[in-house]
Amino acid sequence: MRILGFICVFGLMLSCKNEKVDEPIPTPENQIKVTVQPYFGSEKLYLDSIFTFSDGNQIKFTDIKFYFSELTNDNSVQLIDAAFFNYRQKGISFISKPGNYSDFSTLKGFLGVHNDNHKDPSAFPNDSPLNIMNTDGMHWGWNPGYSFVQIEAKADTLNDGNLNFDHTIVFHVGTDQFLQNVNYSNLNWQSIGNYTHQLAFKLDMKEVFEINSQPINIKTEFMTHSSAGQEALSLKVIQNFKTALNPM
Amino acid sequence: MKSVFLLFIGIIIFLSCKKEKVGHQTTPYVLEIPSHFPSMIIPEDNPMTVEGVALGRRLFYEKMLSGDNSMSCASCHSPSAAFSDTAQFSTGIDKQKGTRNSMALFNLGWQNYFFWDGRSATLEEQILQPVPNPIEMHQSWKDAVSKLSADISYKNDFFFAFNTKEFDSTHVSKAIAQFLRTLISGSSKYDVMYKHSNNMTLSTSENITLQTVTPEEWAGYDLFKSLNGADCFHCHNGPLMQVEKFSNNGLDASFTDIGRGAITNNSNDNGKFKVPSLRNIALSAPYMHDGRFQNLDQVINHYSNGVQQSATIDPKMEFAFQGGVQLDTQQKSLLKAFLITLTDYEFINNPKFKAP
Ligand code: HEC
Ligand code: HEC
Repeated sequence: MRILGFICVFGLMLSCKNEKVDEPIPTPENQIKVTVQPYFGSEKLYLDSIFTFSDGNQIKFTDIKFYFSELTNDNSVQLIDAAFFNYRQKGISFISKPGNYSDFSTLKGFLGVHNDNHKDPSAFPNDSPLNIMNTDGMHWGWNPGYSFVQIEAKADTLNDGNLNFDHTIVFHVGTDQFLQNVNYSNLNWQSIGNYTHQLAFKLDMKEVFEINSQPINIKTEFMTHSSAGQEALSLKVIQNFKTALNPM
Repeated sequence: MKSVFLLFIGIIIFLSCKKEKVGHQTTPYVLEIPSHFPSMIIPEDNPMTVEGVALGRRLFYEKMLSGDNSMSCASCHSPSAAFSDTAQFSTGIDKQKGTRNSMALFNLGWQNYFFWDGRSATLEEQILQPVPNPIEMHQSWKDAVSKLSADISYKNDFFFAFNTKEFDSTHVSKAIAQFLRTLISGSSKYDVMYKHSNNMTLSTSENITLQTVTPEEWAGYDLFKSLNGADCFHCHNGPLMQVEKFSNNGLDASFTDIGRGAITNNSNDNGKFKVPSLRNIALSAPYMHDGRFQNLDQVINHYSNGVQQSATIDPKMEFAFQGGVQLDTQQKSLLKAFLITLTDYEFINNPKFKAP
């Protein structure tokens, strides 16, 4: 009788045991992070804050955005097909993905969108920075493609002691002719935790405007959408931007 | 004794191992997403089902959701007005008025923020608000749910949709959210123009529509897109006809409603509102967050020469320094002709979206 009871209880246990799955301990994946910190000269740049140019003009940036595409090392190992920097929405973070930093002591690719520029912006996967849902106004409605760099700001060019930021600066540079090659070597990846390495870029917005070789005079050069007649400023903006963006 | 004991044990085994009773199986709902649209992200905890959508539709038109059974969601979101309200400010059940114009409802599955100030991040969360709002439907969720529970057919509908006999406000909001996600508008004349300009294959009926696009409509489209013309494209573009962000389009020099600023507590956001889609715009008058403009002519006049400078005006209002884009009479009428191509009659007349 006791045995019978025992068997029953045992049976009960067996019959109801859930299939137990033994989870393997996941091997941690190596992670790569790339950040971009905007500066104004030596000061960290914050959106909507006032910064002063060497000539006394003052500026408040409201948006700084750009794309990199087809970033690879020298042997065509790809880091990422497209990355979108959007200071207002994502802060300094730019790229974050699994990978070995040691594969990428050099990086080359494009400032702007290369092969994908004229594809259907709705057809990219949901998590792609090129999917129309993730572009935050960086797309021109398919045919012309993506803006490569967008800088928006308001300036006070009067220097009269009254703060009045009513001078608008809108630089939207895109279209294939303004695509820029980028090439960075001897990259200085820093370990930030056991499995993550980080590469930090510095973007000096003061340099974008004041660079010696081709400074931008915001009183007269304050708007481009890369359309016909705006080539000179478009080229200046994207070249200066490229010069002002460097790994730290 | 022995057999009783065995029987007893047997029953225990039987009971303890009984699988949880399998309830009703829901049927997955397949969304019809236009070919030029991005895919829609559906929240994992609220998959689309035929039963959920049907229930959501019923609830959207259900007056029991309001305190005195006089008002449903559709009272302020009427299908004939692209699911918005033709009144400047909607009147709630207690005859009180709000300070914001009702919003047109379509393509909500692609929105990241809801309300003019974006205070809700999900549709499910958004839907919980109008029922208890004292100037809208003014009824506690407890009362709303108990009214619905008293109706056997609702009990059944909730059971079929969510497999539960005890439903609450979260089930109501999930069902309505499912219905709202089906309100897809992507078959206007503009869509054919968009697809044609981008070399997408058109169906036979789209090709017929294409032939009906007038030179004025094409010219209006060009003007709309031209950054030296009407300059609308910066904020209203793409398949959704909107860029998802908050912006100050120069309505006022100083603000009575600070909009987004009240949500972020950042004065740099004062006077910014959600950029609305311009789809079905001819049907959803009056316009702007406070319904200040009665018709499209007034809107066009605003952008043409009524733009007000302020600290937070969007830099993309590039011609603000001269009061706007300064269109002449002919350009205004071309622009208006284009805006009317955004009306999607297939959407408006879709029987699946009307009261069940
Ligand atoms: C009394 C009128 C009224 C009723 C009733 C009402 N709404 Fe609204 N709805 C509004 C107004 C006004 C707004 C804009 C409010 C704001 O921005 O503060 C709005 C906004 C919305 C939005 C945001 C759309 C967007 O694009 O951000 C959704 C979704 C919505 N309502 C759904 C519903 C649902 C679902 C119901 C029923 C449960 C409902 N509404 C009942 C007046 C109403
Ligand atoms: C800088 C961004 C921007 C530009 C450029 C812009 N808009 Fe808007 N538009 C907005 C915002 C933001 C709103 C909502 C403003 C509010 O309610 O406070 C809006 C609202 C509207 C509305 C009312 C929608 C509704 O549901 O009430 C219409 C119509 C409209 N815009 C048409 C146009 C046209 C036509 C142009 C070009 C002449 C244009 N917009 C240019 C940002 C912009």
